[in-house]
Amino acid sequence: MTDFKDIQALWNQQPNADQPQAAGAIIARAETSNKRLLATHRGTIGTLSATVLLLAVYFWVYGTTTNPTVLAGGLLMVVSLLVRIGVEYISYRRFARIKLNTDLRTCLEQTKAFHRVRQQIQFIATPLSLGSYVWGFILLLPYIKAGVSEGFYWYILFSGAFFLLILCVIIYRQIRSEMRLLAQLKESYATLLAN
Amino acid sequence: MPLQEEQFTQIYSTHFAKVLRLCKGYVNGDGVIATDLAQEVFMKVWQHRAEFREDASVTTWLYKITVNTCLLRLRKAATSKEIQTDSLPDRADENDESATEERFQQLYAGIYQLDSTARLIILLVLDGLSYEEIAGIVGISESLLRVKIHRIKKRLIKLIHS
Repeated sequence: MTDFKDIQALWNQQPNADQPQAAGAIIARAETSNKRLLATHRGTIGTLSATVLLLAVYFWVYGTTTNPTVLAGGLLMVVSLLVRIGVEYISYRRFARIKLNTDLRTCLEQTKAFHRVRQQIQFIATPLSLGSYVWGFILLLPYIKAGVSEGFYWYILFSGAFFLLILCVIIYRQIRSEMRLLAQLKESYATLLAN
Repeated sequence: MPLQEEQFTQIYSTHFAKVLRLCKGYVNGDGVIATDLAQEVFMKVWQHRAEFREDASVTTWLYKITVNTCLLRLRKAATSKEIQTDSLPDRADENDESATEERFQQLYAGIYQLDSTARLIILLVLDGLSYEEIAGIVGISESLLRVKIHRIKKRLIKLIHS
């Protein structure tokens, strides 16, 4: 291959492959994928909302709202979950705004904006939400200890710490991959516009 | 008016081979990943059917989705496959079928060594699109595109030779 004409000639020699699936099957997959994405989004928001409701009802029914420490602990946990619901909603909306049928430059701009928001969420909203939840939980610990057996108390404590550790690892990995992705997107955008 | 099922079927049967070829060029000739990617493109076409305008060119619209889907594929780590350039054949026998396949691999490997945006631009050139169409698909001016294509072609020739 000495010049571009040879490359072009070779490219044109490629055999045309058959379609592995019928158009109907592609439509069905596209519909399923859409429904799955929406179901996941609704499921997450539904689960978080149910937890908020459960916590609110618990504090209301058992009349613990008269104790300021318990009230503060409960509120911190509820607020952290509300922040998480907000984040889920914003993230989904931003993702839906990415249009694949625009030109590459616009699509890159939209995707960069989405991942920049995701990065801010991971750096600011997630630690705030998690910290607030843990703080609320710690405030409630003496009351939990008084209300349950010692064995169950230690179980709650250790499983909580373990859950927190796992969550921190997941968040760290997400931040790392988000940063890598954003850097790649920025590089692609800069290369596209470079003279 | 959104794209109807009949129109989609027509687009799918007419353009699948071209989309697959572009995807194959983008993922270093890997047939399995390319097929998966091409199917993903047509899934996106169906999902975005409501935004299709009858006055727009189907080809340009389809290529926009293809190019964006390929580039955003970097969201899935599976595509980042390393190329073993040292295992490429030194010479190919023109009459041998396997030799032609090896030449294709050599071509894919050369294209794969370009950065992702350059790769997409040259694939559109190889697919025979006009500069005006490519400029519309990637969203840059035609004059800038011309400069880029000139450089990409030179680099690709060098890469394939090395």
